[in-house]
Amino acid sequence: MRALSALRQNYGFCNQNECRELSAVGQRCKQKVRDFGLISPLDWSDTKNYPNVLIALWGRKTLAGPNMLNKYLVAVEGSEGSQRALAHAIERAKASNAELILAHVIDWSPYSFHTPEELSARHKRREEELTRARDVVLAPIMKRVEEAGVQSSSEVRHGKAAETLAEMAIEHDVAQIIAGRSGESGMSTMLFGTTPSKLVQISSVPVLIVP
Amino acid sequence: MAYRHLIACSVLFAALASPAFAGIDDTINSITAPIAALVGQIVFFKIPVFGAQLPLVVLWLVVGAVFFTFYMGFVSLRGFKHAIELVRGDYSNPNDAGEVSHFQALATAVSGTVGIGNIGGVAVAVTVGGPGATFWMILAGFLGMSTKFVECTLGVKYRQQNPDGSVSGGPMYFMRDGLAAQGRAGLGRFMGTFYAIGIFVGALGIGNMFQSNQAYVQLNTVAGGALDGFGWLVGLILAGVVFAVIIGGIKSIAAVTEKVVPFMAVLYCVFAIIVILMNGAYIPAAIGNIFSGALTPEGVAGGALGALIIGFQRAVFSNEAGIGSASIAHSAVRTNEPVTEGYVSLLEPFIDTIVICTITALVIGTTQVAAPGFAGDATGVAMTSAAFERQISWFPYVLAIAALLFAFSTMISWSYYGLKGWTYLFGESTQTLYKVIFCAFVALGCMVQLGPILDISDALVFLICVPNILALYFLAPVVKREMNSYLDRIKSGEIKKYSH
Repeated sequence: MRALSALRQNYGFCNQNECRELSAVGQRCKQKVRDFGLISPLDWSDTKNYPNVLIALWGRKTLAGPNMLNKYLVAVEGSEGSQRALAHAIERAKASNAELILAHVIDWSPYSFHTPEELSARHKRREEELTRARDVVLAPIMKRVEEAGVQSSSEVRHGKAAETLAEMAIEHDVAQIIAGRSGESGMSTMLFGTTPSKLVQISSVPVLIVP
Repeated sequence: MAYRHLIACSVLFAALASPAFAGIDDTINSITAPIAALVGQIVFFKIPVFGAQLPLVVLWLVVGAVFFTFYMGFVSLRGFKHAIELVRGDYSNPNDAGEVSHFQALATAVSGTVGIGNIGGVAVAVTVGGPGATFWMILAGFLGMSTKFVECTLGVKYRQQNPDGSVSGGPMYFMRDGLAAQGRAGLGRFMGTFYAIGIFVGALGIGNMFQSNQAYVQLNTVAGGALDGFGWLVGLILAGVVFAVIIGGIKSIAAVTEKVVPFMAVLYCVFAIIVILMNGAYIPAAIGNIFSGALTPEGVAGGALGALIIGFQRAVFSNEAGIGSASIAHSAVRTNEPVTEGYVSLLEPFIDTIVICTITALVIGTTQVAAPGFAGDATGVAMTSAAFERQISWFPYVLAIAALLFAFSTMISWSYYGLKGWTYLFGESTQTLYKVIFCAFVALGCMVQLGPILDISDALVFLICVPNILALYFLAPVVKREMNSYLDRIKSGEIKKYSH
């Protein structure tokens, strides 16, 4: 229990539920949870057998700042997994009186190849993508969050999903990232991993993956 | 020119209707050969200098490139590192994510220039100008970097936003608006119009017929001559695919090509280096030939100057510096500093000519030392292919696919350059007409012999470098001011790198 209260104090896990989830990680992981300071992204092999509790504990020094406790970054898209993550985030925000930052990432790479015609229309396309993301993806979600009485803001960015979410988490100084489990499978997942698994590996704030 | 070709086109389609398919290629050839010779004579008006025939346009390009190299203070050397930092995104504002990046603009422009010229053009240069032509090609590539720097900076600076939100840029715009700003509005309009005509007619040559012709030649070579007399068929298929992309708007084909082409370019370079290493014992001799041949070539008409002329001609044909096409491609980038795209664009002749052309030249050069006369009478892509085949028997097949893809991506890029010239003149509404003409020429390119094709392409493309370089002289002070102001702001720390 001492470990759990330490977690709560230092890492911004705000309610009992979260701490219980942590303690359910299992015997080997419990040991790690107790000396959570030792857990680094390299230790993920230990928790992979418990897919519904993927909480990265790789802490930053700044993790315990005063603004930390009341901001969560929620990764949102159109998928069902993302809806479940949102529902979870709303519950959590209500319980801890936290603010949600709804982040949507449009897949884009500065190193992709295009025809000259596509490039000439790129600026316009980008505007359209941003508008569409705000109107179609974010608007209904923001409404839902508002109806639940939770304070929120939203942001759309272009980039690679995991990297961009990790960057945004640092910029907004959030306590943790909440994302849905992706339904991805198959060859590319075996080779490159899924967005959530990558997020877990690169993020410098705790990540909660909602199944 | 276009008019005459349109006649040639209609002859082609009339001939298609008749059952005498096998004679089509010959018929087309006999029609185009004299036309090509005539155009070649006009554009490549030659002046005899010390026993060599120096075409005026080549002189025009060399003088321009040398001038810009000195005027911009050897930006090709001093700006090289900064160019790489820009492409890497060190100076890209994260808030602009989703806009065209420097890398994308460069990659698109490079896939427009890396084409058959890098495989076949080098072989032509070496055949006509001896190994020494390679040296002059590399030098021309280096000088061309400064020309590109100037023209691409101007392309971004004077680009315009179309009503539909897309952007258009290129020499016709910087001629019209740049010269108008200097109080030479009439001259600017005239040159802009001249250039626009030149680029859309020229696009049918260098960016079209030459490409489809060489792709067909290489296909025919690996097919063991089975496609002899079927140039029209290959041409029609190619034209059909180009039609599907530029008129049918089938993005997937273009998307696949744009992804595969860089991969093929890397693959080509890797295998070329492997072949060069397999010919390892002959590398010193081949490099020696390049240098000795540059100054004292044997059996080259016009001696060193003859080699220089051929080298420069092929280099410009390959990297397009001074022609202004890259200025169109680069102008889509999103930046507040036009000069940054100038820096990025100087990497283009470097990649195209100094790296890829040199590699091809070494493949041919080492093979020539090892087995003189290995290619028989073959020249162009067929010669390069033979050089590869000596070491890697199956590589001609890969080369055929690479050639086809290079040709295809170059055609797509050039269809856009030509289109920009066309819409500058006639507006957006007649786009489809231009695109149909473009496709007809793709088919035509497979039906004629390499000689006349090369003459026509060279002539048309070199013609547009005349107004382009002239405008660059007028506007070079603008670029220099931009560059100096930009460099000052980097020095003072006003323009900063974004941490990554």
